[in-house]
Amino acid sequence: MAAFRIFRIQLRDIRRHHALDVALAPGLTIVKGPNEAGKSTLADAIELGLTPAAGVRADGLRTWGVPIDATPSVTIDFNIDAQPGGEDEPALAPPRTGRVSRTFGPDGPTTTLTIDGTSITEPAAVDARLVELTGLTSAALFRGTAFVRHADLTGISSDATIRDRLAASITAADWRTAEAKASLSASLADLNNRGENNPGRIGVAEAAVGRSATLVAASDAALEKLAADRAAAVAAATEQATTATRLAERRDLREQARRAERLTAERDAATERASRYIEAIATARDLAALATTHPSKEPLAILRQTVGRLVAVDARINELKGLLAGEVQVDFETSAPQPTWRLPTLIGLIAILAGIGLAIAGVVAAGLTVLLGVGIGVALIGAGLVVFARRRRSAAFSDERKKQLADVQIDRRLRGRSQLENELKEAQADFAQQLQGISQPDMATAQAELAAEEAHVARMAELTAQLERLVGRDAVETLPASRDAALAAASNRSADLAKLPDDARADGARARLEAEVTGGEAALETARQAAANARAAADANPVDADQAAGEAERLGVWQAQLADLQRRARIDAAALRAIERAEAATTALTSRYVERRVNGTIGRMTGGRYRRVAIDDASLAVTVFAADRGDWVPVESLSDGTAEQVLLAARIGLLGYVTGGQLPPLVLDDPFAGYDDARAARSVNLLRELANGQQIIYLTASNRFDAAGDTVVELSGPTATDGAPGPG
Amino acid sequence: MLRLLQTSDLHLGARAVDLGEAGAILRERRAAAFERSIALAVSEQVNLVLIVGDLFDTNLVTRGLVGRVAAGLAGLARAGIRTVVLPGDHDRLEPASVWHAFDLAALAGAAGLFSVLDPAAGPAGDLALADLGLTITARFPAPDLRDDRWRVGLVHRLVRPRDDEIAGAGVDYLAVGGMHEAASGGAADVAWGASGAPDLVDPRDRAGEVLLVRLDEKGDRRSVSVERRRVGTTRYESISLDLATLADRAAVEAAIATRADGGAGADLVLDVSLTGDWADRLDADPDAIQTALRDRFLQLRVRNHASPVLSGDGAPSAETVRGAFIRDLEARIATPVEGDPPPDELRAALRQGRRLLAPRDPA
Repeated sequence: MAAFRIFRIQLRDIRRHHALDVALAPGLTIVKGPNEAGKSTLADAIELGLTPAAGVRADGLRTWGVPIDATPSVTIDFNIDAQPGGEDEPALAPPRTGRVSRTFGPDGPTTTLTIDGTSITEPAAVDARLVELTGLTSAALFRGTAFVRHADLTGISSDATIRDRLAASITAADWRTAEAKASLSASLADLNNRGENNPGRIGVAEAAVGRSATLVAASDAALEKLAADRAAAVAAATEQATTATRLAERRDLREQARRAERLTAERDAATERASRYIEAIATARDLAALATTHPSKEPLAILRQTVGRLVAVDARINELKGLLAGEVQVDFETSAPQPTWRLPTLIGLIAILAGIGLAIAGVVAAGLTVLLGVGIGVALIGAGLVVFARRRRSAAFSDERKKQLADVQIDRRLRGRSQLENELKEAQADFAQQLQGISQPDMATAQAELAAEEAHVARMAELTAQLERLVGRDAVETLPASRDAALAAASNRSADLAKLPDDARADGARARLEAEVTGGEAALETARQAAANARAAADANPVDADQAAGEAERLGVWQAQLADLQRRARIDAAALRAIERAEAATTALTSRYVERRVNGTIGRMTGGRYRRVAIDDASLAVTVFAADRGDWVPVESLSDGTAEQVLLAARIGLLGYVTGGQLPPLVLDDPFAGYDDARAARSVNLLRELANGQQIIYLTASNRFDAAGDTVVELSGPTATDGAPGPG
Repeated sequence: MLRLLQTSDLHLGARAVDLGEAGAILRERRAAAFERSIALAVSEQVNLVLIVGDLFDTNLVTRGLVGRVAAGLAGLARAGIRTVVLPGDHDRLEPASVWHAFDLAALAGAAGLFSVLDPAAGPAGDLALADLGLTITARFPAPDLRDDRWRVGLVHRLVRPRDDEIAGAGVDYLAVGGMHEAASGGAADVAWGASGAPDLVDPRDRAGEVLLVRLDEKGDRRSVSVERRRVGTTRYESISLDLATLADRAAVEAAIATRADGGAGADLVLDVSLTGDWADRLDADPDAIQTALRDRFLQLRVRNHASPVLSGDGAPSAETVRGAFIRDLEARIATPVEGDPPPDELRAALRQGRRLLAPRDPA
């Protein structure tokens, strides 16, 4: 270890000291003076001169009353002990001398460090070099270890205090450890806090991610549904289009089926017409043949009339022949008595008139009512006679007819036989003439010819009727053309039919297709409805892709923030764990080191009463071996003074450790003020021994340590007094 | 002479999850670039606009966006300009695609002036524009039409076509989409061009342009010329800053802020990567820097890829907490311990602890 020893310190315009120039002993220097003499300012000046002072400005240091532009300064001249080598070995390092001078301006200090004849002024370089020389990495380290105030040691009365003070002293070696742990813990708490009212940043981010993720999931689900809805809408529209196409095909096929049906009908009609014309042509041909092959040369009517005449004449001839063949007989008995009806009729009419006259007389003449009855009776009788006479008259006329017939018969008989014979001759001549007229030899032949002609004509009539039935009244000469036209029409229709699809030509195709079209129309309507519904469902989906995108982007931000915060938490936690591991490791080392140093000094400080001290690594609890009890006892169970000595020994022992082997000046601000003289003497004697290894500056208001000091520096107290009268 | 405007890869409606709130701005910028492309087509009196894939980023776009596109197409239709769209790999021509879900031609009032090519439709997918003397196909090699029409092929693919593919395309001009970069060239008698996106879609894009293609015929000689026109405004830049060369945070911020000079930041998506050795003394928290400067840019991302300097032999004594801490973590970085965070986080923890434990005056 190389001790850093200040042999001169100069202060200008720093607090109490306008100009102070002090020489210090390399060993123990007693700096004494009354309160407000500036002893602590001297300690502060050492701190300002030896530890990093960036940011320290003149305003906080300047002596009262000096000009505002005065620049406080501290100049420290120092030596560094040589580092001896081993036995018979050269020194590791020669003794060194240097000066550090700091002037504090309004914006901070300017520093010059001169050592080994070289000066450096760059602040960071100066600080780094000073750390190398003193081991004091910071002002706080100086205050925590190299500067021991009385207040640091007093008031140790509770179990925890000495441990905390020791811990504070130990960790002052890395005084930022606690601050770092606190900072990291605070950061972790800020990140990881799970309280509902005061959630940590991760909690806030997680909640935000959760909310945002829920919204995004909902949006994405809605988008998926929209995709499905649109797919359904498109599928429905496609189905509608397919159905419409299919329906159109069916309709088209139906039209073709209808056409096929029509063509079939037309073909059949044409075929039938052609057949009729063919038959008609044959019939016409037969008719034409019959027209030239009549059995009779005579027209049928004449022939029929002639034959009829022949039959009649023949009958007359036969009758005349029969008459002429027998006697003439006259039947006279055909005459009847002449009926007498006129007289009764006359009498009846007279009686009626007479009766009416009587009746009138009976009505007109009073008292002659009897005549009325008589008249009526006479009239009735007359009426009866008239009726009788009418009957008689009828009988008379019947008889008269018979008489007339008889008269004819008689007349015939009376005309004579010659007349009959003449008549016969005439009849026979007529008969022959009639036969001749029809060129027939006899009546039987004539009748046979008539029968043949009638059959022939009947056949012709039949054929004519048949022809009319077949082709109406079409002219015969037009029949072949009509036949050919019908055949051509049938052929054309057949050809047209052949062009139509089988489905359209099949039996029952039209009916089937009509049904299919009807079904297709219903299906199209259903598909149209489905498409409309699907479109409506898609249109009704309220999802906004832009909004969803924005939410997804916000989620991305939140997720990134959460990941970053989680990463920070992991980093902070890793740093904290590493610091705790380092702390545990160094605490053990420190504890052992401090134990060794305390054990080396506590015996002399306590006059041999206590010589062994142990420090627990984990709890830093200090135990002391009490010889009178023969056991280890907690240091807190000892007197405050003893505990203070243990702690002071620990602080002194710690200094070399925490400064990394360097030994900066140890500044004690009267820690022994409360000691009794014997203990104070033992303690200051210990300081004298320690001062061989390192410079010790003891600040005190007492004179009782003067003898122990290699040098005694006396600072004067303030002299100005307030002239104003005091209260009361 | 025929004049064509070619664009592709607009990705309208695309999400930009990693850009956060700037995603909406980029969406709007892309739509605006589309509208500027249309305005350019009208002002240049082109005969035909070709959209070679990925007009939309997804088939699930909003009715509003479709309406906006339809309004643009309506502007083309009013000017008598035909539009031919080739669906891309994002807005594929499938049953539920935007092309089926919406009748863009009807919405745009562009019946007869708007066509969507279906590459799968075979010969039926070819588009013969007799009035323009032009046939457009998405079949390759294009069939020999045995006529004297211009033949233009449309293809959407992610990689640049090879020369033999171009030469064998069987067209006079091959319009390529999907490459996300502007390029043009020719092989044999076939000219080709890719416009890339008219505005930034992805940071890797070289975007912002459309192509004006001229099909010229003088006598028996045909020629195709391709002119690039800028319509996009959004730029992307990625820079690395070596922290070892920067004295303090102000210097870091100044190095970033220069990119926004003259208002350039308003159109700039800037990715900053902090690299190199990160000294403990340097306060260069990426988040803080990003927060401080983000208002100057359209989008600013500052990412830390710098590493704290390992102490090695220069570490403080192992008997101090700081020294023990540094040695502990550096050992764990070198030889991972189960349960520890990954090395990059351990490095960050090392820097964090080293900074917190660094000696300094609490005053």
